[in-house]
Amino acid sequence: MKLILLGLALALLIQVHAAPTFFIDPGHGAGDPGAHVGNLNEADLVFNIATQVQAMLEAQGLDAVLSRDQSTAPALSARVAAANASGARAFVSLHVNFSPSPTVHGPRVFIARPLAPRAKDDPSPWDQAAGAHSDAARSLASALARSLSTSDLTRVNVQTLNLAVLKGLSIPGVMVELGFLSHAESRDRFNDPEFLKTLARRVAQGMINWANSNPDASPSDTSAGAHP
Amino acid sequence: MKRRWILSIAALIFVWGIWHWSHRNRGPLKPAVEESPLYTGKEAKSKVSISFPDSVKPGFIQQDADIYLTASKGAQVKQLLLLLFSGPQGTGASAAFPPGFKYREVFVTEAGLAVVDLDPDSVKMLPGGTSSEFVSLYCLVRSILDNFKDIKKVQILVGGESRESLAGHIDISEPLTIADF
Repeated sequence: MKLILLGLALALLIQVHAAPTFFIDPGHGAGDPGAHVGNLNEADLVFNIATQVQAMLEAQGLDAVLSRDQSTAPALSARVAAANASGARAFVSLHVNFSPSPTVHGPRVFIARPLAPRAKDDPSPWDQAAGAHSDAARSLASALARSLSTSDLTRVNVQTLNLAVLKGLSIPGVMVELGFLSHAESRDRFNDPEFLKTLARRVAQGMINWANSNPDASPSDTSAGAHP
Repeated sequence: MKRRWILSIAALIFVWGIWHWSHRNRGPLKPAVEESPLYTGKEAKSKVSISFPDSVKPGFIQQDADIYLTASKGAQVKQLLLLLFSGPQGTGASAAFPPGFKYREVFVTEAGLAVVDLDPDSVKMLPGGTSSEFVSLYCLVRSILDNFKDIKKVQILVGGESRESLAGHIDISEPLTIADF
């Protein structure tokens, strides 16, 4: 009996340990470049940044898994299902933006629309599951927005939007648009590997700050590196 | 020998017939051009207000245009969409869709749902990015809802099928209203 209990406890420990803290979703993927101008495309940029964020988090003891590799482009619902099944504490989808207005620039941070007021006996529909985590999602989004709000990247606000990649999430979810390929100066910077590293540091720092403020995330007092 | 030839030819005709039958509905999608005129030009005209993105700052600009009051509500919405897809007049506004963007079909139900089926090749031309996708969808939905008070929602399809999103971001799997933006 003692052995069985010990085995169960060990299995539980392994399960808890195996669950990543973050599920990172680099948007788009193979065959779906996302926003693209010249030799730059969103799918490659966000994959580059996501792998750097993952490494920075893991260097600080926070496990993170990616939704895709460079050869795949899962459907949005498949990314959500994988995030829900991963046991991660939070979901962060990384994107690069494009606007018909060439002067618009700077990062954007989005969360799902909060749940509309519902009757007490009316259960939340599955597709609005993320709304149940809206407070946690907003706190993660705020941490990311603060980390991305710097003198050279402008102030970032948290916005709500009806996003497919946040639909059906059973964990707090955030989408980050890291900048605009339609903005000439930003486009030049996206060509610079150091700028991508800077963005990765800021995203990782926001996630670490959120994990630090969340008692269940159990990170140490960490830093992803100094802001340049 | 002659009988074998006849049987071979009959077999070939049979195989071709089966192949032809199984492929009868697999031709290219219907082109997104009107095969018959949307209006005769004899109908009364009506002013419509079409939304375009501001070309300088974030925001939207409304431009007036005329459509013919055809008996078919779907044909009226099609006229409006052709004006939206062809882009703004003058300066101050930008296009909400790339040049040459097309719909495949549009119809309006008695329940007040406008179904806009977009051409898949046109959707591939969208530049991507959440902001750009937001602008396209907002201009489309608002232009329809602003001008047709009996239309309450807009369902977007692509190639006749429901999609998660147009370009990887905003949920279009269910009918949209202005409250979704």
